[in-house]
Amino acid sequence: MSTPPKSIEAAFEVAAASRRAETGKRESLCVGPQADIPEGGVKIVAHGSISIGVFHVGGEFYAVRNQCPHQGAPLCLGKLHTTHAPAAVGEFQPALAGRVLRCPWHGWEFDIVTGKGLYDARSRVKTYATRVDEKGIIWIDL
Amino acid sequence: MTPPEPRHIFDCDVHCNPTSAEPYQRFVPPAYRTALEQQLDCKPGAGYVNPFGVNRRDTAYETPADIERNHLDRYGIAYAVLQPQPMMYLSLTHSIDVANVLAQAGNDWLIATYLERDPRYLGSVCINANDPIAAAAEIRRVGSHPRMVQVIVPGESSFLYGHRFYHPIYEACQEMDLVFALHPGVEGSYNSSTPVGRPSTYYEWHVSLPLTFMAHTGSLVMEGTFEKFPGLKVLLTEGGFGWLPHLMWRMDKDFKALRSTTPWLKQEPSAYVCDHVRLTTQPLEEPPNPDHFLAILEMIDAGRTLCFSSDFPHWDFDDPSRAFPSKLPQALRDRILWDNAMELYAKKLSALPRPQISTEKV
Repeated sequence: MSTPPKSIEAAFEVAAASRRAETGKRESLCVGPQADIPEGGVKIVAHGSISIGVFHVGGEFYAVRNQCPHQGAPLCLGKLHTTHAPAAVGEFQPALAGRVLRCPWHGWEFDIVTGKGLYDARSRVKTYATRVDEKGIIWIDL
Repeated sequence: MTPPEPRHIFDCDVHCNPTSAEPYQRFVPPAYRTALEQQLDCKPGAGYVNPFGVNRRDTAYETPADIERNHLDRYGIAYAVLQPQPMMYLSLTHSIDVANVLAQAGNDWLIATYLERDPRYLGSVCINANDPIAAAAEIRRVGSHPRMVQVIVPGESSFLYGHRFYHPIYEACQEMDLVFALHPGVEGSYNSSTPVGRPSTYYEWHVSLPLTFMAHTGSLVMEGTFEKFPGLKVLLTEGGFGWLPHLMWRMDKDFKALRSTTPWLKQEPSAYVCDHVRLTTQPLEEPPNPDHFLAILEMIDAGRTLCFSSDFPHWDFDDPSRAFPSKLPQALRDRILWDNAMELYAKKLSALPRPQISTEKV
C-alpha cells in the first residue's frame, strides 16, 4: 500500500533516518572557513542565481536551498527549533532537536539534515552534501 | 484585660517565587521542556502567544524607511493601509479615559510619522470603541486628514458590532467617508475567541478567529446597520473569506421564514454583504485543488469583494506575486490587487493625486 500523501509519520520517518545528500562529483562551492559559522549559526552563499544556507548544528555543517517551496521566501533566514514527533493524544515527544528550520514566512517546518518538510509525506527542500577540507574550509558539493 | 502574650504565630499567606538561582523548571519532566519553549503555558491574561514570534525575522520593519525599502519598493505597492499596533486594540483597555487619550496620541503619531512622510501610506483611525461618543469625536477630529481612509477596531469587542451601542461610530464613519475595518484583536484576552470555551493553543486560537468575523458580519447585516447607515462600508481584514458563502446562503435561506423578525431588512441579507462588506486576502485559504480556490472566489463575487493584503511584517506574510494560484485569471487578479480597494476607498482617494503605479504585472 502506498503512503498517504498527508502522513506526518512518514515525514518523520524520513527525517529520523537522517540520510544526507550524496556527495556530488561535478562541482564544489567554497563556503569559507569553519570559524565563519558558529554553532547554531548560518551563512548564506550564492551559486549563480541559487542561494544556499549553510547551518552549523551539533558540530556538523548542513547546506539547504534558501528558497521555500511554498511562496519562495528566503527559508534559511528562518530560525532553528526543536519540534514534537507525532505522539499519542496529550503526549509530547521533543524531536529533531535544534535541526528544524522554520520558514520566516508562514512558519512551515523543514528538517535541515534531510530537507524533509514536516507537514506532509512528500515535500522537501533541496539539501547538498558538505565537507571540511584539511585547512578547515567548508565546501558544498553541488 | 490584658491579652495573653502570643508564644507562636501561624501565618496563612506568605509568597515565594522561583529565582534564576532556584528555578522550578528543572523539576519539569524533560518531555515538556520544548512545550514550555513554545509558550504552551500561556494563560488568558496574556492572550495567545505565537510560539515562534509574530514578526518575520528575515526583514527589518521597525521604521518607515524599513517598510518602504523592504515592502513598498520591493513589491511595487502604490498604496498601503497602515494598521498601527498596539493602538488598534485600544478598545480592550480597562480604563476608558486612558484609552481615549492613547487613541488621540496614536492617531497624531501615525499622521506625523507615516502619513506626512510618503504618499503611499494611508491611515487607520484608532478609536476606543468602548466609548462610542468619544470615538466619534476622534473620528471627526482626525478623519478629515486626506490620507486617513478608515477606522479600525479589533475583532474582540464588548458587543457584536451590529449593536446600536456603536451607532455614533458608524454615523461618524459615514459622515467622514471612512471605511469601518475589523482586524483580529487579541481575542481571548477579554472574552473567549469561541462562544463555547477557550482554545488550548495559539494554533487552535488562530484558526478560530473567523468565528468572530462571522458573528460580527451577521450582526451588522441583521441588526439593519446598513439600512440605518447606507453609506457605511465594512472591511474585514485577516479574518479569511472561505466562510462567507455559508453565511450568506444560510442568512438568505432563513430570511424566507424569519424575515418578519427583522422587518427593517429590505433585501436579501447577502445583498447587504455584497454592497457593504469587503474582505482581505491574507491569510489565504489554500485548498489543495486550486479550482476549489477559484470556486470560492466565484461564490463570494471576489471581483467586487476581495482586496489584497500582505500582513507585512507578520509571520504569515503573503507575497502578492506568489500567494495566488497561477490559474487565477489576470482580470480577477487585477481586481483583487488594485481595483476593489480603489473602489472601497474611492471617496477619500479621489481627492489625492494618482499614485505612481508600477508597470510590472504581478
